[in-house]
Amino acid sequence: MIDSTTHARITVSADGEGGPYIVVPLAQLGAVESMLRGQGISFSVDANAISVGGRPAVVFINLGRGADPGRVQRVLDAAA
Amino acid sequence: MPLRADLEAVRDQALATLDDTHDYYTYTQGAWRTLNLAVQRDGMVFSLQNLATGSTVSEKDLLARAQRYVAVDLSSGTLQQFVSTFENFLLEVLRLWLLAYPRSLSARSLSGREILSLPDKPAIVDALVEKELRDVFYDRPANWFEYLRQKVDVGAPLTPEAEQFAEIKATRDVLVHGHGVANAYYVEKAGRAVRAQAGRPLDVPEQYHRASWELIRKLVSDIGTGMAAKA
Repeated sequence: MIDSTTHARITVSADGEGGPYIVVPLAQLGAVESMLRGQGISFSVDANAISVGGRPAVVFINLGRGADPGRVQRVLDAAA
Repeated sequence: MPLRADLEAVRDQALATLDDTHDYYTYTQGAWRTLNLAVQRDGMVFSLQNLATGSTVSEKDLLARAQRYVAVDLSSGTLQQFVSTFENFLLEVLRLWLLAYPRSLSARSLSGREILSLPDKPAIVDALVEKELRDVFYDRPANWFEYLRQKVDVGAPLTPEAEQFAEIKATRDVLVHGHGVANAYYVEKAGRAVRAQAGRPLDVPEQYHRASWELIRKLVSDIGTGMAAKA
């Protein structure tokens, strides 16, 4: 899946503690949520939408400590 | 101050504390996310040193910790604060109620030694109230609500709400005493609202955190308003 604001591939960040996460433009949140639900992937969305420097707002989607980041990445890539 | 005003003041203080805690959670989460974006998208570079431990982190090191700080530590810590705020609220309104209507404690007793160590009758009543509340709060949340119903005849939480609160309280106990991993005590105390079986990590995802805050806020509002109306 491509980020509509940066035109870069949306990737799963898994380089740390606390579980993998995804950063998506607020405008694409609904589409990503539907995709994850459709694949039975559990997640939770942050309470904040964040806009830095006047750029379009983004939201963080948390996948939880037991998530499989590779599987989620394949789901996102399949929607490209 | 009359009892009614005292009860309303305790209720309002608890509600303000709950709102402040949720603001702290939300804006702290936002601050960490803003930092993440500044590093990942704008190339911000920095280093931090903890002068107490001597440890240092770069921006990349810090981001590696940030997801745990936000998704685990921050949500866990503020959930514990929600529960503590509710416990303090309920303890305080029941204390005010019992001090105003001490005859309901007539079945309670103090030892001669305890009585002789106290200066006057108000101090004896205080001691009886403290003893009563210690016993009540040692028990399970379902019994807190039953006690509330019996003593004040105020509309206690409905069964689903009481069960949901019992699960939140059980989660809090796991976070504080059980390293965040569900155990048999959690499963038993959480009852029908159980979220994880023994041995599984007990996370605090956003939806659960929000629902817990909303429930506890509702309980404070309903109980505080109901008691004030009866005062």
